[in-house]
Amino acid sequence: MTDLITTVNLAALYSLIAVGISLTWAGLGFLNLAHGVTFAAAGYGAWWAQEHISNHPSVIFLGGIIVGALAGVIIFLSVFVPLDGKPNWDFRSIIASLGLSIIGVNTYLLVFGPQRRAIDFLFGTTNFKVGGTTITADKSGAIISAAVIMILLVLAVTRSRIGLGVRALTQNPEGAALVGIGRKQAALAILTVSGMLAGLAAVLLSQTFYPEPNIGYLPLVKGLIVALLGGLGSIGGTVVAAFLVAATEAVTLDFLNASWVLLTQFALIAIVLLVRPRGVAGILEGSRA
Amino acid sequence: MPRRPTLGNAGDAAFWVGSLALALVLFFVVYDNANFGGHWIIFSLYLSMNLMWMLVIGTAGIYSFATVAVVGACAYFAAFIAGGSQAGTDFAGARSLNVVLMILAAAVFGALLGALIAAPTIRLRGVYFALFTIGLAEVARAIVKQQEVFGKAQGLQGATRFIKEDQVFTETGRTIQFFVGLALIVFCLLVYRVVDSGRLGLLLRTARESEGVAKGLGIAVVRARFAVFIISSAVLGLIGGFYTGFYGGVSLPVFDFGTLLLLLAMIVVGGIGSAKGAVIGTALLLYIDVTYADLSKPAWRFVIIGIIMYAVVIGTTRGLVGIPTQLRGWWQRRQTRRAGGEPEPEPTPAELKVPGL
Repeated sequence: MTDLITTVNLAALYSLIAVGISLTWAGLGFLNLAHGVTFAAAGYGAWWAQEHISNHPSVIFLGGIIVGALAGVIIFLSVFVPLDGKPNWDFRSIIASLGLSIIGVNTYLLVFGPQRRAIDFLFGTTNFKVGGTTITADKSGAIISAAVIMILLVLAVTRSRIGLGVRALTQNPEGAALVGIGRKQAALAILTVSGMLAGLAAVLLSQTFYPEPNIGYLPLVKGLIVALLGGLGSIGGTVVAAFLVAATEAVTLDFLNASWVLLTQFALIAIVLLVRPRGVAGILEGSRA
Repeated sequence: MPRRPTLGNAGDAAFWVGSLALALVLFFVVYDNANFGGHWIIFSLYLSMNLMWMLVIGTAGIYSFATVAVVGACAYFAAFIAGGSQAGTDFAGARSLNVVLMILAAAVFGALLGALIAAPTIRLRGVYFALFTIGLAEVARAIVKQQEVFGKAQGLQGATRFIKEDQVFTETGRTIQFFVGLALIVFCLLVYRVVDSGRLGLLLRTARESEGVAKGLGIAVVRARFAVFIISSAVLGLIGGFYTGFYGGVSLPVFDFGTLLLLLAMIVVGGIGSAKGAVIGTALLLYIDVTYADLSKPAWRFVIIGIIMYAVVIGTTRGLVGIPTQLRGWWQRRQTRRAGGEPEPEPTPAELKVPGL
């Protein structure tokens, strides 16, 4: 039971991070390796809002999400705008985002110093019991808010006009251009929303990942693992993959210890990719290519 | 087909002779400077790693980020088989091995490791390979960190070295290490040259430009990619062995993500797909890394490196070595336009397949 709660909690947060990476790749052909820096920026944003505005949970949430969105806009302006349509876009955009990531991490180090920043418990400290298992308010709050946001995201992608455009871009970029879907607007939307989701994840994870300069690295790696396993571009695949990765993590934590987690997760990826090079989405669609 | 000497070839020759001369001059001029020896070792290791990485990422167009993980793992392997033990414990371990045997064993281990990484993944499309390999160093760190035999957080020390323990801070020690480093660089340049300009390189470049065409011509694309990955991993293993041979041990920071980023910045800034680019990029960024290492805030040097990397990738299509070609293209288009002619259109992404794609 404890494993189940841990799994659901981690899965909720991993999917928030991974879905941004996944959509950015599928829609724009851009593997955003600055996503970890966005995560860290949002963590600092939440902390700053708590210290300088108010420690009310809604202010902290807003602080994280707004800074996450801003980071997304910065990535749009500094990577997408100058490089889109240029030769060798997909490799150069990866490198540019890595460059931003190096600049970002070290700027945090210069501005905020290496120490960790604490953020208050956002959902209070009450615990409640379900069938003999204690669930903290923090975990249940994270699970519920992530689930709500993921449902909203799926609705936005399937129902809204810009979501339609994004889906068209992921399926056929030329066709999308022919029917007048603006790649730039879609890029701005994707990167801003990805930033907001990373921001939300940063606030929800702030009891595990305290804001510090390098904090974005592990969430980035986990997000990449999940996005890769999910088959880039598929929200459904990403959520399923998030559960698989989180379950692997929970079981590894239970039977081995924390230092084995990445190893078992990579073994999982290797096995899935060996059978289905397109990841979970490939299994869902029954395709191998 | 015999190559006619051209201006480009002469320029290349001048570059290589000049670089060698510069290295020797530096060696003899700053011979007394103990720092130079240390920096030279790092330069030789980084440049060799970059050349092998270039074969994979440039010639073959495989987005591999496994470089640092393979070198680190092989350095650990070498230290382990050559008498390395946890810092603070008895150095005179029962295991001891000739330094040459140690390096060769590390190369074999590297090849095995390469096979292990590539077997499930070499068929993956570009970016999937990147995603898979970018976390490998972290996995290696996780494995090493918890094993007593690998010295946990302290690492392994006291392994066989190129020089004897009492030569460490002497001129003899520095001289030996300088020429060992030079030999490593020359060896890696030769491997790069043989693979890149040889038959395998040709097959790989064809496959990189168009996998369909390559398959249509009957090229075993997967086998060729597998081969280059194994070759580069074997040499990376060898470099891991040299690492241990230089330092007499290895510890966890060898797997740092920062190292991977620094190396990537080097090959990108220099220009992917060119050995000259590797030399220029490695020398330039290592110079910055070393010069600003003493600042009160070392984070500044990474900010500078990040800015250079970002600026080069935004402004150039093939890094610093590609700037002359880029300028020439721009000048020619301008001249044609001035003469009233229709300028050739700017190369489209499909025509300008830069190494790395």
